[in-house]
Amino acid sequence: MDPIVKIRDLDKSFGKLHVLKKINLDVFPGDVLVLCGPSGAGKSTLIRCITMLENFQSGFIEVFNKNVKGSKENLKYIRKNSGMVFQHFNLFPHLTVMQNVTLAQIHSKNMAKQEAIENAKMQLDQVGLSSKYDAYPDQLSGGQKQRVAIARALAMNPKIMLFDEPTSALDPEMIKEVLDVMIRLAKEGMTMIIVTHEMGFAREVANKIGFLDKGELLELSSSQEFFTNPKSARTKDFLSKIL
Amino acid sequence: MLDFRLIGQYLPDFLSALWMTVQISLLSGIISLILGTVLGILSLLEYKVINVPIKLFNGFIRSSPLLVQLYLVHYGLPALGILLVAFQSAIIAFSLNTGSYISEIVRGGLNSIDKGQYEASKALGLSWNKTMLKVILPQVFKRILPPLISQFSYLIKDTSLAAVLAIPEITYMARSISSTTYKPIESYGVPMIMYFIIYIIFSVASKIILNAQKRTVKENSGNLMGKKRAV
Amino acid sequence: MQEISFINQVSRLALAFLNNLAFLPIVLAIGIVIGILLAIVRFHKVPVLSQLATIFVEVIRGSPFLMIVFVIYFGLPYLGIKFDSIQTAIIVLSITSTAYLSEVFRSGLLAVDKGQYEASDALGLNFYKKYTLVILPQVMKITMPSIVGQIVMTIKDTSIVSLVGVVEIVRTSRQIMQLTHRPLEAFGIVACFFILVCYPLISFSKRLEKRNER
Repeated sequence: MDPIVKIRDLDKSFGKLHVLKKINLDVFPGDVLVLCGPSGAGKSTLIRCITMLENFQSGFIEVFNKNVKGSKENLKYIRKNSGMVFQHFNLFPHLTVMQNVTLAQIHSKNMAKQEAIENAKMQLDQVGLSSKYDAYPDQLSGGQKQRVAIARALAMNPKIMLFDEPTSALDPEMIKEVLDVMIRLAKEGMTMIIVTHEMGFAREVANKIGFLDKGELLELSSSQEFFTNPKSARTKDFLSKIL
Repeated sequence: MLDFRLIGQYLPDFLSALWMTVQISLLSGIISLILGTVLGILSLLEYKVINVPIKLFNGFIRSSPLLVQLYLVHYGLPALGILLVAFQSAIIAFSLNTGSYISEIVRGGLNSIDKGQYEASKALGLSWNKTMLKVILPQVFKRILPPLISQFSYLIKDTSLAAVLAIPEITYMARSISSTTYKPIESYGVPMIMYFIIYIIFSVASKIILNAQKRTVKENSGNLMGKKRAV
Repeated sequence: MQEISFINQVSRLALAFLNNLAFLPIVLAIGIVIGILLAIVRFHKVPVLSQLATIFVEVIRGSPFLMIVFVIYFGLPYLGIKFDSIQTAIIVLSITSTAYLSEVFRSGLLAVDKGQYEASDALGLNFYKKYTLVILPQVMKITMPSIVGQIVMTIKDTSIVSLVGVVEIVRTSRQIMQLTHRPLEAFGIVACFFILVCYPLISFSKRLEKRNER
């Protein structure tokens, strides 16, 4: 079975700051990979490189067997078939919830408007927001906004979902509602890469865990292995601090 | 290429025009600064008797063209018995115009001062005068320095309208030299460069001050954390 | 000295003012369209084009309006290019509003949260769709107060083209004044016409600004 995401010797610097050092990583269909590590380790940068929201200096990344730097068509295909959920939601403030979820379906996937609306309704119902079709983002709570963001990404029918610290900007009481949605997604078999600090969530849902520190992928193992038998000293140190 | 000999020949004229522009700008600038500050502080007092005329004045200045204001001063005031030469009319018109804009800037600056500053001064027993002079106005001027600089930059461009009254400033001189020498590139080029250099100087000065302010805010932000903010 | 009744003056000046306002549609249309294009070019740092755009915008912004008028009306003929007063007016008003509006739009593009660009990219929207559906609507909302402000500036700038012979309100009022010797009346009426149009626009712009701050 071919990995959905193939990362080889990925190296990235912001000017003099070397943020990713020779990262090697495979993500297979059905994997739920959690990337964790201290702040500034490069986790967000790594996940953003996968769809070229950040450029990188060397190494290569293949998604769906297409090189992300191969051609514009490659990148278009990759972006249309992967979903991204951001820490700060990035909902379109001038559009209603319904319009947020249908926009890309209509204008990126060229779906018919009615079909897009039906699909949007289904996605919004599944994240528990059926009463909010016509609301504007600034009328929603943080947890509701993030659920809309997830529905917006899922409406594109992606083969893989990428989450960049989806709950870091939420008040504590709203984190659960978003994590619940993500747990359901994982159980349904969606391939997911999640950057998060929520280790309890990781233990429940991830099958693979990667630990990054100072730009290096120090540990990549099954979830069980990671928690019971971490190999690197820094991993052990990190785990002892947060668990 | 450029006729540098010609430029050299007319350099004294260009420079005297530049000096005229500088004189008009400085004079109008200082008067408008004083006028604007006074009006800005007055409007803070919230007395209808003062505020309504000031609002009307500002509305008038902002809603009508500077050229019309210039004509009203230069041709209109003599009709009321006040005789003026062109230079005086220009100074009056520009001062009133820029003064109005500055009063808005000052008012905005005053409004941005945390109420706690007034409260602390009161608690310390400072008179209103001392409060304004020693506590409030210094802070206001630091904050409004960038928009003031921009306003002064606009003033310098506005002074080109003095040409309309045949005052030999840069724009007038450009036209005059061009029609004498039949060489528009040099005649208009030099003045354009002059205006542009002035503009760049002000842009850069404004940016430097903004950056310096940003740095002090960052350094001070630790102290500001505990202060109460006025609602 | 000639007597011209107040009503007569008002009606003459009203008609002349229509000439001032007549410039607006085309000048503002050009200013907005080209202004947005220049702003996008500069925002994306397109090589060569963005430097040229920046030079254009900064030179125009750094030059007095009257100076530009003189250059085009009096200067260009010596180089063989002759524009009549109305053509000069349209050209200068278009150039200046384009330059100032492009600065407004550029700061609008910078003001839109970076995440909006990223979310649009992540959803696979192409460049054109990204801008027309997501970015520009937000830019318009943010910059509307400044756009209205620029419209006011352009209206006031139309007075300056009177100096190269365009038959509009300021020029007409000077002619009237020279006949009646009553400058306060003539110019006062002119000021009122401008205030009538500009003051509501300025108030509108202030209201928009307050609404945006929420």
